[in-house]
Amino acid sequence: MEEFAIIKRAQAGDMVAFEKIVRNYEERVLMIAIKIAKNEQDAEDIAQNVFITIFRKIDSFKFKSSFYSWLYRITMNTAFNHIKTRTYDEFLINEDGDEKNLAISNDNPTDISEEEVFQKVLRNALNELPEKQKTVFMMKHDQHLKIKEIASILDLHQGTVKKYLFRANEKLRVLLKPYKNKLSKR
Amino acid sequence: MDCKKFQDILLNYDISEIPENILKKMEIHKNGCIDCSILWDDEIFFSQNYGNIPEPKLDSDRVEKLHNKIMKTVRREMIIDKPKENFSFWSNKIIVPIASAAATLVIGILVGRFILQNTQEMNPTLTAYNVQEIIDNNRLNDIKINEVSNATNDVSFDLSWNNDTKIEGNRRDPNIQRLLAYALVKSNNPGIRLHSAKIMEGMTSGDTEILNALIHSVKYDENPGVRLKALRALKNYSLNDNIRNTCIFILQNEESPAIRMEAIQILGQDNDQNVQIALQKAADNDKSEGVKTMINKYYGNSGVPIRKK
Repeated sequence: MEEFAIIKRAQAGDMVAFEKIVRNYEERVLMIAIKIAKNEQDAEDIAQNVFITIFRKIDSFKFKSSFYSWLYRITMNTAFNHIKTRTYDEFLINEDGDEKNLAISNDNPTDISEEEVFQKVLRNALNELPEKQKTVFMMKHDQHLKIKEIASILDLHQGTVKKYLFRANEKLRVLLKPYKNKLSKR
Repeated sequence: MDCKKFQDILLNYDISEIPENILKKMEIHKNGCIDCSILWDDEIFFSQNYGNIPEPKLDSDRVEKLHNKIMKTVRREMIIDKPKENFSFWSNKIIVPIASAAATLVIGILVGRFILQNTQEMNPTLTAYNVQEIIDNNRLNDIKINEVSNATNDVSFDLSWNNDTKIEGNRRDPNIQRLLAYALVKSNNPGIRLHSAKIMEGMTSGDTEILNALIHSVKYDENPGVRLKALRALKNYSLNDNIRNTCIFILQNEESPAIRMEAIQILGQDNDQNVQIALQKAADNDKSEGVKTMINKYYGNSGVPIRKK
């Protein structure tokens, strides 16, 4: 109810209310951007652009969904467009399937459990995915969105979304193979 | 069940959501299809493990810096931009074809005239009306200030929106002033913002948006050179509450002592109570001896602190 009032005030041009919205969601948006972007500067640019878009479009929010789900769509769309502006060359470099070393560094390995090690390895593996594949993969597994919904948010064909998901799965499968075997032997 | 159907179901639903009878059919399919079997295993694996991945840790300083950056940009948007238009009018199914037809007709006439006159002019000089329209609709991608004549007050700009063009005008012209204000607040290039503030230094305007642009730059521009130039431009205006509060803001928040000293000069011998309080605090606490000396110069006699005045 309080959020409803804050959004209404922001729609009426109240900057204090808008700043409250930024405060409420900036961490979550930055967190998503960090997961997708290849570097910190990109993540901050994405987060900043998300809130500029929210500021420009807040009038169009009609309370038909939760505010977070509206903001999430804008975040993913902004992140995806940010990625698209990269050069094709860079995209090709990202698309290569070289095997990466996902081992995590730890001075005292006995400090952390095998489960924790695996979670970190999984996160590192996700970071190895090209950003487009990572974005689609995250939307599926973070928000449990359907292919149709992902395609609509990112303005892609459903076939392209599937292609990204298959490639992401394929790459993760290769990257995680040694760790998965280890995990299954426990 | 074929592979396409199997994959559609698997990629669109959580396994827990799939009804028992469909699951059985999928089970039968995957037992005879290696690709779908691998996909099934992947989905099970990721749905079990993805949620356990630790979130990246965020440094609170970093969030705060981002917050300030976001709000600074949003305020910058607010200064020049008008409230956003409601475009629902244009989504009207009748209006759009009529408008498109009218636009096509106008373009046709213009192109026809262009061909008939066989003019070589590629970048027509904009009228003042066009400047206003470009600014109001936020269509400007880039703006560069080329030349300024101190003798005639003429300014020349390179503008970029749909195509590149030049515009020339007198800086006393309100539309040219709005263009300068636009450049001051919106340009990402500090050199252009600095140039714009420098040109505005020698003029005053009755337009509150221009005054607001200067105040915004003084308070929030990330470049101290631009802040200083914008503050010097504010000097030309007669002191009012808006400018007074900006100078107090600078005394309390500005990092550069040179800019704080400039603000003290603008406040001059102002007797406003809030100014007096701010100056007293600065005379006691300012880190810069230069600032303290200047306050005493304006408000105390021979270095006598202002509170004893």
